[in-house]
Parts: sequence; C-alpha cells; structure tokens
Amino acid sequence: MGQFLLKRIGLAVPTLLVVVFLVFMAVHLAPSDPVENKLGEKATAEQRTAMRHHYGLDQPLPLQFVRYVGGLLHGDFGESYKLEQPVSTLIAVKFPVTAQLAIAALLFSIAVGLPAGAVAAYFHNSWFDRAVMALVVAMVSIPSIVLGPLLILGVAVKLGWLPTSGWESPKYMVLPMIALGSRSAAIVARFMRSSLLDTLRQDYIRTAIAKGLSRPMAVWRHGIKNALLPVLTVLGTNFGALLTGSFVVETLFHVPGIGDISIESIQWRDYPVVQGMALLVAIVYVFVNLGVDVLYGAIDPRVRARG
Amino acid sequence: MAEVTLAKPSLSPTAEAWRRLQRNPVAVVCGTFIVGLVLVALLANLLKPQGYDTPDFLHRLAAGSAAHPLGTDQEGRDVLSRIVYGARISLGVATVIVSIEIAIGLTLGLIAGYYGGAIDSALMRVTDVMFSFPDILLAILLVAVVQPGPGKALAPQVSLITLFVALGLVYWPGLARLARGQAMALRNREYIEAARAMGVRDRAILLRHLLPNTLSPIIVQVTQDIAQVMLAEATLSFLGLGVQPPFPSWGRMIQDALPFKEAHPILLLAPTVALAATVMAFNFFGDALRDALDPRLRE
Amino acid sequence: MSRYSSKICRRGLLGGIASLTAGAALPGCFPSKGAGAAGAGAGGAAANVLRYPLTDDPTTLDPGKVEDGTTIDMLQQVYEGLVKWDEKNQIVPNLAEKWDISPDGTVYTFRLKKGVKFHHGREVTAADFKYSMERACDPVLLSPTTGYLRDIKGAKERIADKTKGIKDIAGIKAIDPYTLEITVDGFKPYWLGNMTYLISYVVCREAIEKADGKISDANSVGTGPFMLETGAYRLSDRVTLTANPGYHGGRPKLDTIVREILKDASTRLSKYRANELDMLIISPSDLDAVNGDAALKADLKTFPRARIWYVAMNSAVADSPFKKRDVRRAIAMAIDKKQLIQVALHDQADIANGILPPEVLGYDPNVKPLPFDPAQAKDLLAKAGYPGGAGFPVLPYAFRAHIQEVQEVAEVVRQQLKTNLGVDLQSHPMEWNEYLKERHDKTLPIATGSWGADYLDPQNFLSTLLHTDKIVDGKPDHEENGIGYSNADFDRLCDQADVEHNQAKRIDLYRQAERIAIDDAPWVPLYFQKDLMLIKPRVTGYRDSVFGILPHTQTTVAP
Repeated sequence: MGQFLLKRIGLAVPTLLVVVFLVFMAVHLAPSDPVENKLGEKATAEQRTAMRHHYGLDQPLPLQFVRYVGGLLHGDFGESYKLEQPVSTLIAVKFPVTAQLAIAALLFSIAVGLPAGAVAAYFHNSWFDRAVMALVVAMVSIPSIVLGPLLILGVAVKLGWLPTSGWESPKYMVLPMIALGSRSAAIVARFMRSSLLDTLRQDYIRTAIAKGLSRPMAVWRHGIKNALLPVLTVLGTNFGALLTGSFVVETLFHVPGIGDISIESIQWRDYPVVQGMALLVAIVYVFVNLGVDVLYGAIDPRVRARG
Repeated sequence: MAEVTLAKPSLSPTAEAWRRLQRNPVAVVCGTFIVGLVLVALLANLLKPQGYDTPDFLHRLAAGSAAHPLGTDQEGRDVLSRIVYGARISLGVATVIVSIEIAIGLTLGLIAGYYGGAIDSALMRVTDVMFSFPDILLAILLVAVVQPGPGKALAPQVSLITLFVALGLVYWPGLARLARGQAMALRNREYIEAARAMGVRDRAILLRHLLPNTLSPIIVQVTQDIAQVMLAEATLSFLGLGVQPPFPSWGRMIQDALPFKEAHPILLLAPTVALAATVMAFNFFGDALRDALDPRLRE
Repeated sequence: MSRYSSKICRRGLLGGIASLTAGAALPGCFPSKGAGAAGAGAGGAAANVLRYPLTDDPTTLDPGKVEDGTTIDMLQQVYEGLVKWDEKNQIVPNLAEKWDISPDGTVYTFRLKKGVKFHHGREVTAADFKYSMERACDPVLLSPTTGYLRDIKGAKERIADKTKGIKDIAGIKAIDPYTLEITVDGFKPYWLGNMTYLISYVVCREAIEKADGKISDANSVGTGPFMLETGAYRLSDRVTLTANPGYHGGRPKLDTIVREILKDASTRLSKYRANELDMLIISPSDLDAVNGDAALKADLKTFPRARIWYVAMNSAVADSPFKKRDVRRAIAMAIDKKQLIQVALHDQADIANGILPPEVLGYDPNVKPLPFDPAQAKDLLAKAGYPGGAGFPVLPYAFRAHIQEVQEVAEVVRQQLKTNLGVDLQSHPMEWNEYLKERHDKTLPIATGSWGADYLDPQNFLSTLLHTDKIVDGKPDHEENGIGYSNADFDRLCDQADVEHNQAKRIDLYRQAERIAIDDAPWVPLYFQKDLMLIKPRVTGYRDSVFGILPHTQTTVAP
C-alpha cells in the first residue's frame, strides 16, 4: 500500500511542475500586457515603462519564471495587478465559496443519485426503474451551461421561488447546486443501479436470504458497500466536469468563487491571478484524483497490484 | 463478429448495423434531427438571407412578429437568424475540430498502437500529461493565452482559428488513446500477421487492414466528440473566450441574453434550447450507434 | 471484497461524508451581514447607514494614484484637499480657509484652517501638504495623475527626474504651519481647479512611512468626514466607511457607509428592489428595466454632468473626405439628435447645440447649432462631390467598446447617416487604449468621443481640444486635438481669451470661437451627459455638483 501511495504521489509532482511551467509560459507569451489597463487614459509611455519595470515584466522570461517558482515555494503567489492584493489572499477569500458550492453539488448528487439508483435496482424493470433510467440518460447529456439558464428561467424568473443570482444566504445556493450537481447525480444513480443489480444477482445475497435475512435487510447490508463505487466513480471521472462546471455556474449565477475570478482575470490580463488560479485548479484536480486512486486502491487489491 | 441468426440470411456487418439503427426509435428521431440541423446550417443563406448581423438599433428587443418570429435582440438583430447561423458556426467549428482530432489522433494512435515501443511510450506520456487537466479548463487556458488584452477582443475570424487550435489540441489525445487501444488489440490478429508475412508494407497494413477494423468504436467516439466539442465551444463562447461577435454562437448568445432574462426571456431560451437539443441529439445518436454497431458493447 | 477492507471502507466513507457535511454546513462562506457593518441588519435598512454599492473592486486606496471615478467617489469621503467643489460648481475653501493670488497670478498663498485633525488625532500643517504633493511625484508610486501637479514650479522637472524618494519641489513652500505657498509656472487662471484632484489631497506622513510607503486599510489616515478603519476593506466583498466624529466640518449625520462590491448590473437592481441598497448609479442600458417598474421609476434621479459627447471628423488623415468643410457640415445636418437621445439614451440626456456644456463659464443658451436638415445636408454632400453618397468611402466609425450606450449612440448615428445621407460607415468598436493610441496617431477618420470638464472654464474645452497648437505631434501637452482641426481665427480668439483678464471680454472671445467651431463642424456636438441614479426616498441631504455627488457630510438615511 505504501509503495502504491508513493508511486501515485511520485507521478503527481512532475505533473504539477509541468502545469506550473505551461501556465506560466502560456500567460507570459501572450501578445498583450496588463500595464495599459492598469494605468488608464492619462498615462505616458514613461509611466508604462516604469510600471513594467516595477512588476518585473521587462526581465528575461526564464528569470521571471525562476522568481515565480521561488515565490511559490514560500507561499507567495504574487500580487494581483488589478487589486494590488496578494493572490493568496484572493484565493483564501474565493476558494471557500467554490468549495462550498462543489461540496453542496456533490452531496446533492449523492443524496439524489444513490437512493434513486438503489430503488431503481431494487424494483428492477418497474416503471420507476424505467423513469429513472430515462431521466439519467437525459441528465447526463444536459450540461450546466444549458441546465443553468433553464433553471433560472423556470424557477427564478417565471416562478420567482429562488433568486436568480448572487451569494448571500443558503437559498442562493440551491439553483447553482442543482445546475452543477445534476449530471453527477445521474452518473451516481446509473452506477449505483448497475452495481446493486450485479450484487443482487450474486449468490451471497441469496445465501443471506436463505439464512433467514429478509430481502430488504440483505440488500441494505450488502448494498451499502455498493454505494462506494458510484461515489468514487463520480469523484474520479466526473470531478473534471465539476470543476469546469463551476466556472460556468459561477459565471451564470454570479457566485464569487474561483471560477468567477479566473474568468475576470483572464479578461483583464491579470497574470498573477490567472497563474494562481490555474495552479490551484491543477493542485486540486491532481490531489482529488490522487485521493480517488488511493481509495480505489484501498478497496480493490487488484488495482494496487496493477500499480 | 456479428451473430448470425439461422432464420435470416446474414448481412454484412454494416448493413446489420444500419438495420439495427433504423429499428431504434431514439436513433431515428435524433438522426433526423441531426440531418435537419446540418441542412439548416448549410442552407442558412437561403433560409435567412439577411444574415446574422443586421443591427437595427431603432427596433431593439422587439417581441415576436411576422418579420421576426423570435423577436430581435439587444442590437435589433433577428433572433431566429442568429440561431440559424449559430447552427452553422457550432456545427462548422465542431466538424473542423473533430477533423483535426481524427487527423492527428487517429494517425498517431494507430501508429503508436501498431509499432509499440518508444513511440507508444511517448504517446502515453504526452497524453498522460494532457489528461491531468480537465479538458475545457485546458482549452480556457490555451485560449486565454491569445486574448489580446484587457477589454480587447479577437477578430471573429481569428477567434475561430484560435478555437480550432485550442480545442484540437485538447481533444486529440482521447481519440489517440482509443485508436492506440484498437491497434494494439488487432495487431496480433492472424490476418495482420499473414499480411506482414506476405510482405505487405506497413503503411498498407495500417490503412487497408487495421483502420477499417477499428472504425466502429472510432465512429462512435467521433459522434460523441462532436457533442463534446460543441459544448466546449459553447462554454468558451459563453465565457467570452470563444467565437467573437458578430459571428453568432449559441454559447455567446446565452451570455448576452442574461441581462435581459427577466424582461425578454426568449433571448435566453432560444439558444439554450438549441444547444441542449443539439448536444443531446448527438449524444443519444452516438449511444444508439454504439448499440447498433456492436450490441455486445452495451452496459 | 474482504471483510477487513469493507469495514475500513464503510467507516472511512461514512466518516468522509460526515466531515463533508459538516464542512458544507459552515455558514462562514457567505458574506455575513452581521459581522462588519456596524448597525446594518441583515438585509434590512438601518437608520444612518447608507448602503451604496461599488460597481467594481477599488483600484487603489491611495489618493495619490487614484484615477477612476468609482474609486475617487469612495476615497473623497476619507481624504481632503485645500479646496473643494460646492453645489454651485464653485471652487470653495476646504482645508484652506482663504487664499491670496499675487498680481501676476503665479503665487498662491493658502491660509490653512486651524484645528483640522487627521483621523488619528494630529493636527494638519502646511508641511503635510508639501509632503503629500511631493510624495505623489515619487516615481515609485507610479501615479498616473501627476499631470494635475505639473503646472507647479519645479514639478515638471521632478516628475521627469526618475530618482526614487521624496524630492523637494521648489514651487511648494510651507511658510509656517498654517501657510502654504504654491508658485505656478505662469498665469493660469484655471489652475486652482487642479487642486480639486485627489493627488493634491493631504495624507499622513507617519502612517504611510510605517507601512513602507503603501496605503492599505490598516493605515488610511485622512481628514475627511469618514474613515477607513483597519479591516474595512474586505477583499472582493465590501468597503465600510465609518463616520469621523472629530470632522472639522462637524460630525456627519451618517454613522456608516457600506460599499458592497457588486459587479453585475442586474444583481444591483435586484438588491435595490429588495431594499438591500439605498442608492445606486445606473447606466442608460438599465433604463429598460427601470422604466418598466413603477417603483424604480419613481426613484430615478438625473444629474447633469459637464460632459459632452460628439462625433469627431478627422481632417488630418490623407484623402479624408472630412477635409472638406461641406462634407462635415452635411454630416452634422444629417444627424437627428432628438431621435438619437430618445432611442439610445431613453431621453435621459440634453441636446448639445454648442460645445460648452451649460455648467461651464461662457455657456451661451442661445448658441445656434447646425440644424437637423437632411435636404440641405444632401445638397451639401452633392456639392462636395458625393451626390446621394455615391463615391463616399466606407470608413470605419470608431467608438469605445463595451459600454452599451456608447455603442447604441454610434449605431443610431450610423443608421441615420445611412438613411438621411446615403453615407455608409462601418461600425468599429475599439478598446480604450487602442482608441487613444489611434487618436494620438491621428488615424481615426470618424469617431464618437466625449470630454468631461476638468474645470468649468471654456479654456478646458475650446483651447484644449480644438486649437492648432494642441494637434497631436508628439510634443508634451500636444495631445488632445486628434483630428487636425486648424482654424487661424479660432486659434487667435482662444489665444487672446486664454490670457484676457477681463471676464466679460474673455467670455465674448470664447463664444466667438465656439461659433466658428460649430460652423466649421470638426465636431458634431451630440448631447451633454446626465448621470442617472436610483435613490430611495429615505435618503436625503445628499449634495451634487457637476463633478459628481459631493462627500456625504449632510446625507441622512431615515429608518
């Protein structure tokens, strides 16, 4: 197990380094520069040069990169050009919002998907099963960029039950959470159903029932184990979509999180913030995948053996 | 190989697949929709000759009428025209990108899978790195590079080229891995070995023996990739990083419609429904295609 | 699956879910209404708390660097200068209670008000002003607004000199603790207006030096009616201003001003509707929503601003059809300003007949514009060689991108020119910096532009923008005339007026010049801008000048 873990971590580190490098190059090789926007209308060429120097933008790229990485190792992500505040402070303010939304979406997907999939499997081939599966197939295809506006139009604008945008209190979280988590809910439901169906066909359920356990109890006890697989699958394969989805959902609903500020900084050419956010996303993505791999390894020795 | 039922004469695999497809109601509905969409996209000039960018600020945000069935947008442009031309943009962009994907991914994947060794390792490493970042976010980053500056916007034509490059880069690894897998599975089959023994050149083997037999899963993947790519383009355009105005893009139209969602919901509803229907159609059709081509692949 | 691993998994998973749930239940991630804003109840209005959002993040907390209107509006509650604007658009004493100007007009002697205290208690002296202005010229600060100090003797040289640190500027002298003497490099009757800009406002030396020259909410020490206490700036969330009990003008009636950062217009409108905001700046594009809502419409207030919007035609570009006076006049007569204002601005602007806005000295209410006369316009165009618009090149019509009303104005003008004259122009939205650059390079054939008064003197409009000397040619101060307009009579009149001491004669000279400019039509004056706000009835006592809402010393909010 330890070796497995080390191997996984070993792969993560160079990946992160590559990401840092690529992001840095991407942002710095771009044709434009943020100094123009910062200085405004009445600035002279001299002032622009002075500011470029102040931010170290006139130094050779490799040197800028080295300084940046050096700063990273000290926890210094640089300073936002627009806000003149450390990027780490921005992250500290924005990340909890995105995390909250993402966790809410995940919980939503589990809370809706697990029971739906379980009941569908239990009542295999009933109308409920068919309805759930139809819904699943539809929801898997509906991305948040489409579900979001539909929810806004239907629930917020037409019915007025919930606010259309903002982030003030828990009720503001409902629509974004649904928009973000629906696809995951569908995937969870699908896996839960198929995994439970497999289990139900297995002999040990029959054995348990033969031994006197009632069907529901047998299903419950063994079914719980089956809940692990879908949840992990969602985390593992769908997490990328969740991250991407949060960019869209935050922009749609004006949720002040990482996605929202990333887009703003890209439009503003606020290099340090773009770099910081890209790095953050990469770190989160890599670690979540790492965590999922580890959990899979813990559950299934075959995965560990394959290495 | 396909199962043969004793009662009926055996058809070629392609004909079998086609028959299964026709029998599937979902496939029929979605397939028809797709064909219809392609026609609309190709014939946009005929259907809506006034084009997608004739602003009429004196009549902005008008309600539906005979001249403008879906009303006009915030610049006075006909919404229906923009949806129609948006189909052209969405499908066109997706087609180009998927072609790039096939050109690069299929080629590299087949070669890597067939030859193995260093080429294969290289491919695996590169695709590993690319997979370590979620697809659309990678595209956002790539496109962010080219953004011309705070508040500035790319020229619409340049924005298209940017999309081709960025999304092409993001999606080719997926197809490459698939092709590689297929090539690896098939390279030791008897007929391949036989061809090698007979001295058939590698290129001929790849083209004439390997490729045709990998087509089924590739076609399915490509169909679903069209949906994925369309979605990626819509997302990028929604975020302001994709297709630039005045070229119409459903994703961009969704973003532009947000400030008017209370007073003029049709501006938001139209592109949302168009995008949803199209993506779903391609996804379902891809599923149906997979079932038709090889029923054993189901579940 | 072995029993061992399943036990671990089950516990692990349940534990994982439990902690996730606990995490999500933490309410800490919502911008809490309770913490922070003293007295502001969650969502509800409180007496003497003004909730007035910021439309974007503040660009800086340093008055020496601030340039954008939004941040200026916030910082001017905290910092003050020698003089200020009042509701009658006059420059009146603030921290300087009176001043004398030498007979040749170059030496200003300010007598400072006694007993004015910084927020941390120390009294303000003349030396503080000297420090503040010299600090602003320190290249380390990278201030974009040093232009407002340039006329002070020695300032130009200091600014050009790249040495870091506070260097002496000879023209600023602290004669004694309450006497400040500033020498200007020439007779400039409008110079005092420069002292209304934040770069000249007084800042606290020891507070700034403590933080290595940077100003944050931990060391924002000014003299204004409101203070920025430590922690008042919650990044990306809000800025809270608290009343200064020791304000030299008397404690303000408000206790707090809460400036929430809300970047989306429709969010701001919804919050205003929901009574979570008391005051709101809106743009003409929001009028669609406002006019459709009776309650909002009732709260709409308009404020004239001395800002003109115009169409500028470039005669400096080679082969420009606008070299011909008749062409320019034709264009001017083909634009229906009334329709323009109605359609693009929902009637919320005043037609500009001349170049000087009503608030500017010398404004002539009877000035005669070129009339809206499509028939005559067509004739002129034909006479100039483009009958019916034939042969007229399809030129790019430039305007600033991303501001909806600017685009709408440009589009309506374009449509009108097409319909009324047969002239086809291509829509060319431009980024601000690109626009400025091309204006510098004199390559914009025709463009929508605007100009807001720096001070309410015709010199700021006529001599600054249309004089031959101001034609852009790379020399400093030759920046504003990007269209190559040159008329010897106009120049002569402006030159005379610039140095004329007799007020009445001055005005007459400028008016003559304005008439020439109107007839020559290098510009088509379109409209004078009005700022639009939604203000709840419970907010009273706010004071307005053409430069914006004045600091909230008298504003009150009823419960």
